[in-house]
Amino acid sequence: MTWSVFPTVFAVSAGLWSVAVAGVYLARLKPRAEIMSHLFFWAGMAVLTVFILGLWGSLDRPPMRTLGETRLWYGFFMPLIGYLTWRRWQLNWVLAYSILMAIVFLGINVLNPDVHDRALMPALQSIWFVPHVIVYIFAYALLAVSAIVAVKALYEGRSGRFRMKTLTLADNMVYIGFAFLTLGLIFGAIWGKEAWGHYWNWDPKEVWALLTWIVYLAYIHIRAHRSELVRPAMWTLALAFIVLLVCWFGVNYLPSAQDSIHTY
Amino acid sequence: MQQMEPVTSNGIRIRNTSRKPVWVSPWGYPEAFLIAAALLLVGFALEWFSPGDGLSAPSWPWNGVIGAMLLLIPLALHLSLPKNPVVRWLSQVPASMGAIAAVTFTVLLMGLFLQGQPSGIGWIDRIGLTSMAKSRPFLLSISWFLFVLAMTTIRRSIPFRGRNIGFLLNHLGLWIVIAGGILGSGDLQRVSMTLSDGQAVWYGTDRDGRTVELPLALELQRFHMEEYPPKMGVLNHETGSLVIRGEQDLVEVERGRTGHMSGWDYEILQFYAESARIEDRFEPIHDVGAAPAANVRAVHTERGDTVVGWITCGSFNMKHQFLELEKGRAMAMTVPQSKRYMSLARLYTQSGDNRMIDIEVNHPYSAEGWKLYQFSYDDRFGKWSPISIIEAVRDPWLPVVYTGFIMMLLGAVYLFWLGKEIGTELTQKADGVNGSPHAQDSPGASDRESGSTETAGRSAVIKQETEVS
Repeated sequence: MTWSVFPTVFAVSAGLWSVAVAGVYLARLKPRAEIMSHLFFWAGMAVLTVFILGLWGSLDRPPMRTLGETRLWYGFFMPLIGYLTWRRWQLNWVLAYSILMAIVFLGINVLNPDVHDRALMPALQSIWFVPHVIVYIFAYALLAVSAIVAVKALYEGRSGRFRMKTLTLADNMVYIGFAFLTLGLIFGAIWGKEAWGHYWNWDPKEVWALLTWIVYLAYIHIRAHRSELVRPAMWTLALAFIVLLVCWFGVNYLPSAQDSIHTY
Repeated sequence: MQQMEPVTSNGIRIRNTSRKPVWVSPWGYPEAFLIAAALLLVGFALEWFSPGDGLSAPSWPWNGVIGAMLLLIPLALHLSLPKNPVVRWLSQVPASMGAIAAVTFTVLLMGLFLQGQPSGIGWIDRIGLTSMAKSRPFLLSISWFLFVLAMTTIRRSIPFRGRNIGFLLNHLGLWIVIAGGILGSGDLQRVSMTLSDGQAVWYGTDRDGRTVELPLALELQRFHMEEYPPKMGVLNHETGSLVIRGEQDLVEVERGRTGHMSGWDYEILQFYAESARIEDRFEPIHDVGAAPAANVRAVHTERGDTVVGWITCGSFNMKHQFLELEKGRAMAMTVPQSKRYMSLARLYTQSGDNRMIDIEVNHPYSAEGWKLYQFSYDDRFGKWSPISIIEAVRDPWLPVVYTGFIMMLLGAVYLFWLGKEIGTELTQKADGVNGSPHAQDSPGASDRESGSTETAGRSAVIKQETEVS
């Protein structure tokens, strides 16, 4: 199986997943629709799995060497993580959100077939690359939501309509997001050991990833200890996302990043 | 968020009343932040008055002794003075927040200043801003962080309770990673070995240029590199830059490929991945210095001019060659990117082992307590590099750090799975809602007992708001 059949695979998987998402929301009206969601979700995963295995067979190596192949794995794991989070926390929108991200990643491969050949440098050809990136993407996605929730809570507080539910949602997003941030940091460290000889090199990206991690750590401790300090906690959460954005996009523009291994 | 200000159950605002003076027991946040600031100040002052190459961890056994002390001092404090208010404060959230703030500050400096190269601005270098990881302020703040983290962890582990397992995985795991990483750096050895054909090398050079003898030897048999196919594009002769317009990007060179680029239709008539120039053409050849070459025909879309010729990116002993299209424009080939590279070498060990190994990027080889990494090669020669540079790393503390990693990974799974519940549980405990007999042991419980005044009505306020909304 080669990339030539991928547009069909994409259309079928994306269609099945979309029905699954629709089912999740329909289940509010008709609880039995949820069974349909599970079925369609796993059918979508099965189609994509068959394609990945087929591609693996035809390439005679794990499809993990080009940009397009990497996106394929994002599109595979993102819905799985979203599904797991949805099952655990009954957060319907997380499933919808992660499936939307998967469709975007896989859609790029359909619209821009060139990425199939885009070379990955040897250091990136590691089994840790995909897990490292995928948990970070998921963590960032959830923490982005937590920042929006923080702004919402601040607005609610200002307009006198503060709801406890908003706060609970923010906490929930941070706990899940922080768990994935920790996974990303450690996967990166283990990969660093295999590729560059050491698990921690104080590379600017590492430094900012650590900073991001610490700021969310601070949020968790403020919330756990002084739950009445809502406003400082929400400001911390909004600020934490700025640190996260610097880590994600901004690092390359900092003077400290001249020799970073994370600039490509 | 007005209604989230501390309010008693009957709605009277009591913030800012009966605030306790600093340094009066029980301590809270002000003391935590003052200590953190003092440590940083002392650290920067020490750095200023004793400039040098920066600190490095001592090697075994001294790093082991320090590690034991980092563990035993908090344990002794906890066991001997369990009721002492300062000892209790050390294991609570305010002290942790102070330590987190101090570490955040030093790491932030590390993230802002380029590390490892002096800036040339006297005071910046002198107070250690360009080598933070080896500076005294960083050492002091991370030591304080480890101390407070150890106090917190110990208070939660004695007596051990099953429901604290997630807490312990995360906190003890983090302590092990940081302590193991910093102390382990004293025993970490990284040396580079430059291998060339047929010569056994049993030593390496560390970053300070010292020669280190190794318990193994490597003899390079062959350096092997696979490359992606080269690409081609239209070059602006005068500026030397590629003319790239949207989809007329670089294209991968392969035989038979046709397309359109900067006003020219092209066809790749022939392509050799390895070839040599013979008079005015190229022939396939597998030999040192061979370079990829392609025979291209380009036809101007409007004028119909036809140009046919060879292009090559060249190699260290072959000049590159463009195909002139028109004045100032030429078709050119880029140097291929490496797909993978590795060293095929014979390994000799002190125990008498002698075998062929290959060392590839991302696939280090372990022998005699050392890990061997494909590090570099002579990039002037590319795939024909006569040498290969191997990095040998010995890190006896790695199992310690990985133990911490595994604990933190399990802790992260725990956070994901029980996230909301932990939050709720801690919040309730901090609020005194569940009336647990251990509530006083919970983070920060004691500074609330007398230090803060606003607790009583908080849960009632929250409940009211929930009802309102």
